[in-house]
Amino acid sequence: MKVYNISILTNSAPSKLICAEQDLSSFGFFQRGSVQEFINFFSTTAAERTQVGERSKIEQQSYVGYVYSNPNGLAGVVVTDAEYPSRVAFSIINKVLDDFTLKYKKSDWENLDPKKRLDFPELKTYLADFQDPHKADPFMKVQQELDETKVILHKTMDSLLQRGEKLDDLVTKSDMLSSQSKMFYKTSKKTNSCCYLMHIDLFNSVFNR
Amino acid sequence: MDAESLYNTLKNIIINKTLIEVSFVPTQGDGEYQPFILMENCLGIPFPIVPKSLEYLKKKFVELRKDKSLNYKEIDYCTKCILLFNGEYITAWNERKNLIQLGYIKPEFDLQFTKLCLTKHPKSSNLWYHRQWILKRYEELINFDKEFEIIEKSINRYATNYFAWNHRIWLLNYMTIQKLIDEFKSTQSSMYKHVSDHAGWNYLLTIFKRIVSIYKEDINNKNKLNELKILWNEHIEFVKKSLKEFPGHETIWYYLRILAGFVYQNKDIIYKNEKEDIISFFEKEITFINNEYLNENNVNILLVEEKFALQYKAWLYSLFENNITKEDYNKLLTEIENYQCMSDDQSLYYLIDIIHRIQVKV
Repeated sequence: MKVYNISILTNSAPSKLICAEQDLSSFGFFQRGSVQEFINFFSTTAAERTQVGERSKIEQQSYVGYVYSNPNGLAGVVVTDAEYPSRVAFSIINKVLDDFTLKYKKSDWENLDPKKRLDFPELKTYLADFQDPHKADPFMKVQQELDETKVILHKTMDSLLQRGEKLDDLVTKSDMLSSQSKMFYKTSKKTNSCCYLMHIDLFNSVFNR
Repeated sequence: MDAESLYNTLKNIIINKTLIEVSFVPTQGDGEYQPFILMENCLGIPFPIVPKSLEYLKKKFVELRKDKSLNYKEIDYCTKCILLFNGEYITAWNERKNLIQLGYIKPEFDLQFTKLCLTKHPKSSNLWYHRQWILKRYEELINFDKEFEIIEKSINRYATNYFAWNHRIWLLNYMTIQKLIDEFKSTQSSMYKHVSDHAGWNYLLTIFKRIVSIYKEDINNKNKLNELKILWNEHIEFVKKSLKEFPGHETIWYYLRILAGFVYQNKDIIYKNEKEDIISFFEKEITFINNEYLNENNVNILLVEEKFALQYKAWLYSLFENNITKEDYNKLLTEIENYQCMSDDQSLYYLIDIIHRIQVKV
């Protein structure tokens, strides 16, 4: 049970990363850089394509991404492993977005330089605390919230993309990915994997196992 | 670069640096130790050089073993290099055991070295075995916290890592009864980290089995039996709590089943000196299942959980077949049929077979 990433972005197109925190200690030293790039790339791609007010869950092998886009123009993204309870993951997003809205006004982040990030140290504490789902949701409510029925489930990242869009093109065009990470993506395409997260899996198989 | 100079470069790194992590990387480095990449004491071995280096090293190793002059120093380096590439090479591990017995390598050193290799090969059984071999001979080197840390890291690197859990089970041999109980409780409270890891649940059951077998020796001591009873009650509550907190994980249901079977076998110890007996356990379980999972008014239960609950119920019925009436069976049959109508899932037919078989006996 692991939370890899919590990030806050704008839900405009193109989406901008406002702040992000990652725990990649379970990945090897040489993987971390690329994994981080891919998670950020995933976050912006998912934030742009999630409708306002919509919650979506993107599953890919043993990794799961959760996205919620709120009416204020913000989107929250959480990436976990498959064991982490999805209801808790969505409640993390709610909590993080609420706290962020209390701290920053819309004008603070609306015209933020794409290269800059806002300082939000709470994210680090949350990421450490919420490794234990009991802390994110002390009651671990037995009943599944009714909200969850509205969650849109994507079995792969491809189903998130709009018509005519291809993940390959997005990866090639992206300036968030280093040439090394793009090279990894291409090699993983050859082994018939279609998604970046699967790609991270490839990383695991290549580096770790 | 030819294989021999690759070997010399790697040897150089091993001699001069204290490595903390090793892994394979797709690109070659161009630093001081090229083509190897060395950053913050983490070693990256580029893929393209792996086959030729390993081939060379194995040849060299065979020659070194044939050589009568017994160049320990060179054997030490050569085995180290091989094992960084391939953690499963058992002959190299055995040669290192030999060197330890001769006193050429300190056992502490190989504990450190296996720790390094585990960052690349967390699932290598020979590697874990080498560690056990050392600890068995030098018991004073066993430090539970250190071992647990290494195990935890390996499990995070590679989930459902049977070999790491197995090492942890092996460590139980060196624990006193109090330590066993503490370990049982602390594992229980951190079980959420690996809810779908069967090897982890199995570890929990193994500790419980050890504890019961120790209490068994002192079966007439009422206080001790009470302690055991409290521990057991806490544990079954914990398992049920986990079921509700993490719905949809079949692993926990399987664990509950095995646990019920174990308790049934050991009912004379766990339910000795008690007004309530094993039947009360069975009744409690059935009420729990009926109220929480097979209750038509409870609309929040996932369909798949209902299936697991039915399987568990049928399992309990087959354990306690003497306490079951004909109505109970018929009720369970209807429940299974209802489930199959609801879910379009035909996988529970085997349960109906089992139930019919028990019914014939009754």
